[in-house]
Amino acid sequence: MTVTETTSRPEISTAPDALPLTITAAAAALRAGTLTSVELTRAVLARADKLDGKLGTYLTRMDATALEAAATADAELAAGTDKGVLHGIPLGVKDIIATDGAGTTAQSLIMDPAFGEMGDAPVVARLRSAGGVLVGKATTMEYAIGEPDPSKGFPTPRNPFDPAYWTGGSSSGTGNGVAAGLFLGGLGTDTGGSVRLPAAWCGISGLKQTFGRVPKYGCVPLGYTYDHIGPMTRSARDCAHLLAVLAGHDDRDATSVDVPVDDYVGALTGDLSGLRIGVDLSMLDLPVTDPDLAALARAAVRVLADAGATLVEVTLPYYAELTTATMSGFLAEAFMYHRGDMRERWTDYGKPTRKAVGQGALVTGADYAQIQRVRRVGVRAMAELMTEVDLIVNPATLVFAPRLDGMNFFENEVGAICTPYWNALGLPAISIPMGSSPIGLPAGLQLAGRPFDEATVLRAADAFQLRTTHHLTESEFVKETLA
Amino acid sequence: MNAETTVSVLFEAAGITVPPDEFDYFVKVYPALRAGLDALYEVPMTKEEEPQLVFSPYL
Repeated sequence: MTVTETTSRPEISTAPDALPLTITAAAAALRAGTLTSVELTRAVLARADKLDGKLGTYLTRMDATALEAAATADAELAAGTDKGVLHGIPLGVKDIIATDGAGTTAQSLIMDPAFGEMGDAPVVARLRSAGGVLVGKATTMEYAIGEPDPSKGFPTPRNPFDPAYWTGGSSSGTGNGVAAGLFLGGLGTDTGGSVRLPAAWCGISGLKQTFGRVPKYGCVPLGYTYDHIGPMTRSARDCAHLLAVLAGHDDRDATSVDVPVDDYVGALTGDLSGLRIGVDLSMLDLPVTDPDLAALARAAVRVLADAGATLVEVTLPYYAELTTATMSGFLAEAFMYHRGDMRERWTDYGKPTRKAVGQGALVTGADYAQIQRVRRVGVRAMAELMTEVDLIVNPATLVFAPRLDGMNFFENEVGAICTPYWNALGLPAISIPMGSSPIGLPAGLQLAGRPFDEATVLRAADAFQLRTTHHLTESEFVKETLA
Repeated sequence: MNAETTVSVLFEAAGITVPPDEFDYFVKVYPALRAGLDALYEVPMTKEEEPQLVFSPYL
């Protein structure tokens, strides 16, 4: 295989280690002979030595096995065995996904350590088969929900652009790890936005693909009918490379769907001519919206038009109802999973987790069935809207990341998150960087598409990134720490 | 039934004992949670729809 897909702009860090910022750039360097996987892996591990204590990225580092895998990748590439773009690339895995040799804590005192002994989840096995170099298990919010809780002895994930601020959750370590160059890509999970929220607030790209597109067997559940395992990388192009490896049926996941996998990378034409993109920016007028973020969103949408898309103003159907359907529905499912442990070990859970999951006890059986009925109404309404447009764009959030001190996400910022809507519908949605606040905190633009049409979602995201540099913005804090 | 009683009954039915300060939190958020759920019953056309629940008689 020959890797030819490089952009005209340098995707190389301006920090002293000159680390490739993207998987695409690193893959090109590995094949050009200017970098080896062992050198690349040592470089990201050196970054971890300096940054992990400040950012709270890792729960488990896998230095020794990572360097072994990197050496193997170098030998294979030298011998002409090329497994694809991920071959020799350092990757991180959220610590709710089973990974052989690394255990799985779900960042909780409750988690049964035996879960980690099941071997690799299918997604992890697929990354290894593609030659990926797993460098560690990344922090999360406890059981992929809640807020940072330092009282239980786990690291607090911090924003790579200013550690006084939060990353967003729950795929927090994957988000700040990619942004800070502790690995070049990784796995997050998304039940109400847990890939897209940290992607937005850490300044990277994060994709929640169609429900059932990527098998979630081997992942600790939060909301069974809302959970997705998705790729998190700097660029949409890198997301396409990861999704190409992750996608595909596995019958160990009852919700996995056996449909053909598209050529996600081949779809990245850079041109949006002929695409109709529905635009719903009505939420930018809400009092909660940060005006600086609103300005970024309006400017970002114009870039899509510059790339050739036709913009069509639309109204997202049942926005409030489907947001409720996600937030209350997954809490009911989460409470079902945790009920036994909560009866016996309430205080072993972190307080934010108790406050969130405990609300699931207040949702009745009839409420839950009605939630699932509303979801079908929503799916029907969205299918009708999607006969008129190919994609829909809205912001990922209405606010920038909050400060960690005094944060109360579930009482304050949760109402300013625009991601849960798409989990109720199960449709593919990506968050891509669209700029930063006056103090340098990133924000995300969200693009969503038809069922199993991740290719068009990625095509639009990539076209946006060919015309902007937000996804290549590096943190001054990270660079100063590395200097 | 007021929020305090409802929350108390639902937690008791689940067999969960919640400390007083956390119980107050659930009582505080319950009315909004209930209102959001009640609104779902007002969505047009839901009566004609099957819920997205799938049961299969085989594994």
